[in-house]
Amino acid sequence: MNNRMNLDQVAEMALIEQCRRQDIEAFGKLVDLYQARIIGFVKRMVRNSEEAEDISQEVFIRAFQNLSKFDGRSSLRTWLFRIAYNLCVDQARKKNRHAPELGLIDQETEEVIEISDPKWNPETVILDEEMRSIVEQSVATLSEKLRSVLLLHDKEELGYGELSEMLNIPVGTVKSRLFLARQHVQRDVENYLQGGKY
Amino acid sequence: MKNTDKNLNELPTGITEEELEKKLEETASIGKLVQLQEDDEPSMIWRASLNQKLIEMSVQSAPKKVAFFRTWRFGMVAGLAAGCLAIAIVLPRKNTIVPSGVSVPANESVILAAHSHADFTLGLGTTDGAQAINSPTSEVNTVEWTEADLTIL
Amino acid sequence: MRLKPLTFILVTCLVATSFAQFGGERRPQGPGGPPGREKLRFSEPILQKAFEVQNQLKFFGVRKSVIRLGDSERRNTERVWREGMNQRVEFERGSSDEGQVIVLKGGQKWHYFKSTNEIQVKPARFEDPLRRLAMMLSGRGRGPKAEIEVADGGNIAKIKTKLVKVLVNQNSVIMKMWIDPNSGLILKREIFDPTGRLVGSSEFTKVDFSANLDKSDFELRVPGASIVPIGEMISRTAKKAGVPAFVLKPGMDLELDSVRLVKLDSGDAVFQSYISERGRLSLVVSKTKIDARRLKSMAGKNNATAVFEMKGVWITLITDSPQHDLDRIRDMIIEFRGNMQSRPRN
Repeated sequence: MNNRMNLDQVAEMALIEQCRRQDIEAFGKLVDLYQARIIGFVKRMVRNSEEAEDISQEVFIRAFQNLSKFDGRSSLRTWLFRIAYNLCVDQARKKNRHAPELGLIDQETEEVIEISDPKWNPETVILDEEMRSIVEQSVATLSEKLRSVLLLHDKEELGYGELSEMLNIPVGTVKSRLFLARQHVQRDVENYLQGGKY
Repeated sequence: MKNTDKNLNELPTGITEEELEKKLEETASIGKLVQLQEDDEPSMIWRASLNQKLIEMSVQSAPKKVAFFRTWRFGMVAGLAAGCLAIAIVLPRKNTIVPSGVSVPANESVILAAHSHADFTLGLGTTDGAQAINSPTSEVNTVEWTEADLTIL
Repeated sequence: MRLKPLTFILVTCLVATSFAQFGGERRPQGPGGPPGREKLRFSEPILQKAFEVQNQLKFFGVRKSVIRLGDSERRNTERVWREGMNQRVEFERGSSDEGQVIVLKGGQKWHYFKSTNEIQVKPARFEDPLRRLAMMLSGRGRGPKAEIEVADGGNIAKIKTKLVKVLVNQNSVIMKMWIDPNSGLILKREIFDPTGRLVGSSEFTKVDFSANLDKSDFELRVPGASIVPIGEMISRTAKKAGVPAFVLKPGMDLELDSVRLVKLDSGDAVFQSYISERGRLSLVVSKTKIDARRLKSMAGKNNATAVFEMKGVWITLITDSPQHDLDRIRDMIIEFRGNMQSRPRN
């Protein structure tokens, strides 16, 4: 189950105003709201728990330092994830880690996966622990470019426009990366359901 | 630009924009699976460490009083040093925020952890984590008990 | 060797005095807990059963437990004898607490430490984990109101169970209990901290409900062992930490449950845990100054905290009950002056 909390916009703006005044308690509430999601995102991006914890702390420290510069043009959520994404990219650059980029065409088979199969209906696919693990592993094998789009769009529900601005890429590129990422996960899930290797 | 990057910036070969939209709709179920992945709540130690850093930042960045004054004296010629007063300007200090690099748990963390631990051991219903009072090598006053004595007590 | 009558009388007085101050007399506990205490009523039948059978259970079992505190972990294999509100637990070879024996009888807990050949004696509370759960379910605690989910729990110790999950904030599991619907025995427990990390578990691997139990199973016979009543525990730990033996004045509804030392950066502090029907309270006495603001921030909204100076040392109070008035409790702190001198050698 996702442990998400949502604030309506008015409440969020009020909280931001308090945080801008360096109100530690108010900022603590902000951390409460986003800590799990930020850590989850960072862990999936850097794939090292210890680094992820350090980076996640740095996200909130930077947010605390720079809230005065938050102009409200984007949502607070987008702003925080932008900080998180940038820190993850910086970390990856330092480590010079790359996962192989996926080509557009499946190298092993050019088979187009049929999407309309009822197997793919989340109502019928039971998200048990094993399935969660399959999805998690599949996401982990994506390249950073595809993984970031998948996580930010599908998990954190950022829009195409927001992602385009954050990642500094055209909307079309956001969509194509998202499609490639989902296709990759879909392949692994199908293999799992059929009892094959993934 | 790398070949792969160039490919990634374009639509997949042979797919129109409309088809891509359609494919994205059709793969929405995968998006749902990804959305249902759980996030880990951070540990108490992580949160306590962050709180400590934020508090320290908050204390260090408290606005400092700035005082400065300037006095201008026009038309005074160099050499009338005795008649001119130095102008004291105190510039505001830049606040530097240095996050603490503390790796040892703060006392407050230790106490809170002990408080929580007492709760957990109570909930678990086994040992309460009690410690021996006497030292293993120290001389202890001993009394000898019998079954009858214990029964009475 | 038999005890000399005078020695016996003196030690009896010492233990009784400690109990009068800190334990009080325990009345026999009937169904639903001791008379005079608030009767509990769980809406969930399996929990109500688990609570009601407290003084009816009779079995011998083997249990494995794990408790995590920070990076440290204590793993124990325990042999457990239980008959009503009497219980004996022996910690097996290879356990972190190997050689310890705990006997609960007549409202008292006798805890034997083989390493130091001592028996600590203090008040015992049996049903409080379920009482605290009842408080959380009713929303009377300071923390969020808890909810439960019940499902099939599979087999534990070859017994089919029901799994009771305790959740807060709709989906954060803080406790799981696997309960035998027939006997009401809680066969397995898992406790999670607020971040979802497993911090403790206990699980029976074997249970024999037809075991023959004897009165002697609930007695502690250790010739030569020193008896350390709770009053003496307070005095000794305070002395080790170099602080006055501050305690809460007896007679309040808060009863002292445990005393131990915790290590702070510049020395030991005395950590006392008090329990009442309304929740828990921790009282810490330290030479080290505790940052009240930092503590409050770290404790979050589920705990109230207070830090103040008393006679040159620092007192810290932490409670999870909204009904504990820390200002009032502060006024109830006294210095314990137990009699340490009347411990004759045999």
